[in-house]
Amino acid sequence: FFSCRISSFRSRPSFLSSDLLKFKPSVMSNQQQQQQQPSATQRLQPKKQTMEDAYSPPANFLEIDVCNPETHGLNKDRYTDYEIRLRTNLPVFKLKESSVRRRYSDFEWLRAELERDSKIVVPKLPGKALKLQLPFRGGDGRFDDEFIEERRKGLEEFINKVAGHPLAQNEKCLHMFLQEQTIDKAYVPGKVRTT
Amino acid sequence: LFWQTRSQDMSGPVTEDQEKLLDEALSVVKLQAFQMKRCLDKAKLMDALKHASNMLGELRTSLLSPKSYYELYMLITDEMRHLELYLLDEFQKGRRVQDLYELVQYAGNIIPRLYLLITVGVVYIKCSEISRKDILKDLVEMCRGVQHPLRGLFLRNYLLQCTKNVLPDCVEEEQEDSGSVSDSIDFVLLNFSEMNKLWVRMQHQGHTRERDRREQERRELKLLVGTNLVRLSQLDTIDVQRYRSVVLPAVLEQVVNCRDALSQDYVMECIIQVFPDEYHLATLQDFLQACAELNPAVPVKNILISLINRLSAFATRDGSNGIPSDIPLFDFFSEQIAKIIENKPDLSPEDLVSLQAALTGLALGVYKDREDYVDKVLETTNSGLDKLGVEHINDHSNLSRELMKLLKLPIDLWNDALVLLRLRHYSPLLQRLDSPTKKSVSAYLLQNMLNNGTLVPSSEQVEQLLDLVRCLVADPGADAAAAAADATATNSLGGDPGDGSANGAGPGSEADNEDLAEEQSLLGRVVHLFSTGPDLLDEQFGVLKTARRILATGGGRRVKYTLPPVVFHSRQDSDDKWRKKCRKIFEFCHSTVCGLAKCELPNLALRLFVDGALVVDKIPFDQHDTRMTCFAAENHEPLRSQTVHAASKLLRKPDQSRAVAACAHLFWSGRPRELQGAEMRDLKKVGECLKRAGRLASQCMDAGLQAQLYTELVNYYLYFVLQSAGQSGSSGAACVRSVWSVSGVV
Repeated sequence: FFSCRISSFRSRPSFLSSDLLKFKPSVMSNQQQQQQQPSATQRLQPKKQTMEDAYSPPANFLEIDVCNPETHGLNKDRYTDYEIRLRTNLPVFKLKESSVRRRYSDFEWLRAELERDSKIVVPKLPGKALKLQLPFRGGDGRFDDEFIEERRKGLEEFINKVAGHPLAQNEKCLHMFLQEQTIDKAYVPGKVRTT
Repeated sequence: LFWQTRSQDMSGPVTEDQEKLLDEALSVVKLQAFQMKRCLDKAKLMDALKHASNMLGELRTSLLSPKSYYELYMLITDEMRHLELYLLDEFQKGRRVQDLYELVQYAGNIIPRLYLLITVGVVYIKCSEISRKDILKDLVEMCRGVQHPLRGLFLRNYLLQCTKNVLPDCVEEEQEDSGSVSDSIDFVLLNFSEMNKLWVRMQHQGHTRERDRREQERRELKLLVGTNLVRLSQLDTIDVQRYRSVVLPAVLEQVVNCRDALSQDYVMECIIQVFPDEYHLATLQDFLQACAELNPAVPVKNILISLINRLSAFATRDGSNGIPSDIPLFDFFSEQIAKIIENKPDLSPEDLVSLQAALTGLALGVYKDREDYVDKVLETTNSGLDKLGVEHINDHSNLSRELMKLLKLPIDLWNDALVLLRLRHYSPLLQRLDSPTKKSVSAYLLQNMLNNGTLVPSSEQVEQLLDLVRCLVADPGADAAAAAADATATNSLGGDPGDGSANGAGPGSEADNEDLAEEQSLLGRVVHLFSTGPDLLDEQFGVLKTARRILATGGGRRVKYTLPPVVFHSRQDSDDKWRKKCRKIFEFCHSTVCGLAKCELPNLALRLFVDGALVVDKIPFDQHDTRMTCFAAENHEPLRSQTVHAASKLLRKPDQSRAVAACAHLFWSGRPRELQGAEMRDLKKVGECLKRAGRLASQCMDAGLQAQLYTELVNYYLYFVLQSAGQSGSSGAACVRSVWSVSGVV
């Protein structure tokens, strides 16, 4: 409780205007009050919040679901892809709702682009399942339902973390990944212009 | 690491884990609380504060559901009382802790910091340490530091609970900086608006698929927000003026601007329940204006109905002064409801009706003698239903139920069916209902009349009443036939063969018949209420004629219930005074009964004829009154023979036999004028009767029954023989001979 000193306080967001209030036990005379210098620990007067700000839905809504896994193709050329459904009210996204289908390799592509261009530490993807692709393994391997579900969860966690980061939101590759029907791997990498 | 977007705040509490999480938290609390109290016992305040801080740290969780969080909160705040009491004790004993208010702000995390600050602040206030006004202001502002909806709501609730008894409640400041009621109002209003903000924000936390669960959780927490309004209502120095100019506008501003249906619905209801009715009367327009600006998803009608009912109750309560005359309450609400209906094209018919019902309740409760108000509401309802294109109202629908409620209100609250007859729009509204419901309401009305003894004193009103309840009087379609045959009323009974319900032609289930019986007997009893009063027999007769005419349209099945009362009722009036009318009355009865006879209800007809005969008997004929026509002589005969005729028509032979024998008495003891008060003793006729009875008896199949009948006949003969002892004549001898023949048979 008392091991921390004033100077080791974490900095608080600016809207929290309050700070230490020192009350003097004795009643101060008017004169004394007027002579007081504003101190570093003075209370700040908050600006009155408008009704709009108070009651509007917060403008940080971003929800991405990775769902509906489907396996396409036959035998050796099979692959699984997932629906990436996005809902948002962030201004940075062009479409407030979008739905695209992506496969694991698309996620790998996105991760590589972001690692190269953006300054964020990109989270890890769920496993590549190399072991499952070995021949003579029993079961469905990488088309096994349980495996697909685990992967789905991992991908969902990944994309939510990434898409929520402002620095990632600046990258064109993210927007292409999330909101365009097909990924053009020959695109010109760059930043999104914010108007 | 990353910017927290909303979706990542996945505080979706899984129910199975809740119990475990809560238990863990509670055990930490119990441990820390124990340590805290031990330190306080040893007067080691700093250590105690540390333990308190640890305990309060459990409230920083995001993992608990509102229910679990509440339980945790309750335990912790209970324990905080100990700390508060200790500090109060210390302060009062003069052992003030230096700069305690500043000290607790060194707590590392904001939740423990603010809970401690509130606790200490309240101690300061109670010990009059520092400006009460300043502390209260500081506390309510500082709570802004917690913007998480759940944690913020509970924190501010703690603030409200702790300051319950220390809010200044005086018009002027008593001492410098001790604050006045204005400061309290500002305090509570700020707390309320912040809490409402957090409460509304809750819906946006978490995944969209959890929306319903979140809404349910919000409902669980509504009381936290409402407590602010309760606190305002507990400030005694707030008067109507201040409520109107300061309190209500501020609350309504939040309500209207939050645009959240759940909040609006709850807070508006809260306002109605929490503040006194006089305040509502004084601020009606502002409140109603706000109602019009609410989110369309809010069921405004519920709010309005709540308010109307409350004000009705207020006005009609014992000892109340009623509504001040300068407040046109009815007009206000009438307008408001009209506005709502206009603004809500998708308002369902049943909602429309329930609104009108509330308004009717108001009119009947507060403005009892303003029939025009009620009529106006009914008119509005009618046209409203027209506009919504309501044609057929299904019997079990909500609309039917609501409409029925509406129609029963005037019945219940006026207890005077005659007033209802004056309302031009009652009947049209009633007729909209489906047959069973319509009948139910009509029966309800009739029952009410019976319970209250409501007399119907004029022919016109009888007509109106019977028209109102026409669904009970006749089947639809019977009217036309009956109306045509109206002029010759007597023979139009029984309806046309074309009218299927007449003569009981249709099969009709057991239940149907029971229902019909009930309805009609009700109607029958009401006939007795068609009474103009003892001095107006002329009118009375007219009334009954009208009644008969209308009831006759009911067809065979109904008539057997409804016409006899007409007959009996008219007989009751044949008092000694108006002999002239008696004849007419008896003719009337006679024709009625004939009609019944035609309807194949000979049983009934017989009973009535016999009854009629009895009545005639009882009237002492005033022979000195030459103006009186000899009713008895002329009409008694047909009466007698008709009776015999009817008797012989009875279904079963034994009954016929007995009845005809009984008729013998008619010929014996009738006292026509010619004989000057003596009995008729028409032996011939008597003999005929008995012979006939004997013949009928012999036609009986059952030997035992026959024997019985013959025995009875012997009794009759003996009676007459004995009676006629002294009367000579062949008929007498014939009689005696008959006796022997009968006994011989036996």
